[in-house]
Amino acid sequence: MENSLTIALPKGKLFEPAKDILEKCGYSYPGLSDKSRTLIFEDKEKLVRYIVCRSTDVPTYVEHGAADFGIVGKDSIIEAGKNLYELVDLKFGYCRFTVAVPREKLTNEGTFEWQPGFRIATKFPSVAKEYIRKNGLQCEIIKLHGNIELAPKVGLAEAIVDIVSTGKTLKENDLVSIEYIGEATARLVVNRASYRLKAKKINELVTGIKKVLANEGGE
Amino acid sequence: MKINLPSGMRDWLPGEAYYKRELINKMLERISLWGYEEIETPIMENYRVLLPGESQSGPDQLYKLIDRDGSILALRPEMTTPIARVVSSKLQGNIPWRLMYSGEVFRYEEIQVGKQREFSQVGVELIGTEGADSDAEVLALAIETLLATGLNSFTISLGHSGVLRGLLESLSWEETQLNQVRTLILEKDFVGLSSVLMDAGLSKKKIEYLVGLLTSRLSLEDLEKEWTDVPVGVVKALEDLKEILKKLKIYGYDKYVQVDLSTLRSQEYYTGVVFEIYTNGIGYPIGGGGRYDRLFQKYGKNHPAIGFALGIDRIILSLSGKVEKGKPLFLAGKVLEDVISKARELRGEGVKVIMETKKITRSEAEEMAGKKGAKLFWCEEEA
Repeated sequence: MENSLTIALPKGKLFEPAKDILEKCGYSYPGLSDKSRTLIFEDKEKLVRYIVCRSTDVPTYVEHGAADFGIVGKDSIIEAGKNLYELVDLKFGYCRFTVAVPREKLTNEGTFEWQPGFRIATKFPSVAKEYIRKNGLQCEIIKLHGNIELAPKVGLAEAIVDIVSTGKTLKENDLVSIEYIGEATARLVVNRASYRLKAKKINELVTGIKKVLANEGGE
Repeated sequence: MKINLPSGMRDWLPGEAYYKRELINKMLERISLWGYEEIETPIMENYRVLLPGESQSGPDQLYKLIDRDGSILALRPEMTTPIARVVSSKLQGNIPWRLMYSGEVFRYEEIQVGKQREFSQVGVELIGTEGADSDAEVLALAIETLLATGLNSFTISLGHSGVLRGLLESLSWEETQLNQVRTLILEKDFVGLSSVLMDAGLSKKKIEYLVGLLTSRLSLEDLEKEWTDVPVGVVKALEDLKEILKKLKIYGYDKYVQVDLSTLRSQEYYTGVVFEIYTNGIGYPIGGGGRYDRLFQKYGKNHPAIGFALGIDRIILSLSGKVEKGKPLFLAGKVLEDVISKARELRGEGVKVIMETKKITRSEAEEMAGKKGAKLFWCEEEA
């Protein structure tokens, strides 16, 4: 228990860069992949266990201590609202939170007029709630689990709050971004107890990652 | 029929309840050996009394009720504030007071791990003294109390509320910016912290230094060196921690303690050393506490004080697997008088006895005892 380490990795687009940076810090395991049916990879020699899970679940695994640390996007951290140590900005997986609406709903001046009773479809209800609060809007939030761009097309919502990296999906669906409300990149998150009890290993990792990032930044 | 409990509440079934009671007793016994006296307060208080103990940023997490006369009541969310109320208004005699307690507290928490909203705490308050001596006493007592439960691998993480205060004071910024920094540090978002400090125009070197200070662990040797490039308030806090660590070394308990300045408690009443206790296999603290020299001012008194609280439910989780039930004896026999007098005799010796007063045969008695998981004691007729 005290000598072993459990690492939570997110499936999807963050998986490869996350695996890559860990490899550079001495954490690697042959066959580690997010495409395989196996979700747990155990390196019995080095006493390291890798869990591959949905990115939105990484904060949960780490908060409860089922994983000592994990790599996950800031977008998932914000939405999860968990008690975690967020130690390093890993710089990859950059995306932005945006509020987007159908192009045809814009005024001639290219602005968007909010009306009471409008609905916002999103995967990120707490981000959307904060946006509504800050702007004093009267809106309802509709929580969806994916393909948010569909909602305005079928009349489920008048606007969406989502993350975008290239903006390609928005364009394809004739949506325009009216405001950016925050940025997100991948982060190294650590469990509160592990941060204390496995201090040495965690510190080495943090130092290692910072070194890798500094080298890459300098190239 | 299935009847649901309110969320965050749980029952303690036979066996579990026994184990919990035994554990609490063991802890209180150990604490009382240090001269601490038990105190009890009501579960309900006037809402206003409890407010000084709540975080001022964001909504409170109190369970509220309305009294018949319309005034607002609340269930106690922790024991320190109610005890401060009693001490300020009722306690006679000379300082210092050494008080201990065990009791249930209630906190309405959305994201509380395990979703428990009622939980038991055992803790102490040492009221009326200041300085490293009393800080070390309370920390040493926390360590001994945990050892008494049978837990032997745990770490107490020491921080100091003066570090955050000193840091914020040195920044001479606007209130909103300071609040932002405070929130980020409390949320342990060091990435966000770096970027806010960067936006405010601090040099990269200075930011790395400050964030490094907050995220690294300091040994006694580190603390003994000259601190020149940190704000005055922070230097004072580090001095404090150094003295406490030196004292704990004399107790022989320094191995349980680690200085980690990212240790912060959300309650704003803390003024000095603060701490959180961690153990293997549990992803969140099993206890914590700190020095709160200004809480009493809210009740018109001026007492420095320090205390700790240990979460019983979490300690039980970390001890799991060691549960032992106290098995009773099953007593039966041919003559009722014999059974009753034997039971009385055994109970006098402290043995737990279940009596069967109906007329049954020995084999029936064996079967009943077996069902209860108890050992049979059969009273034979006197020859």
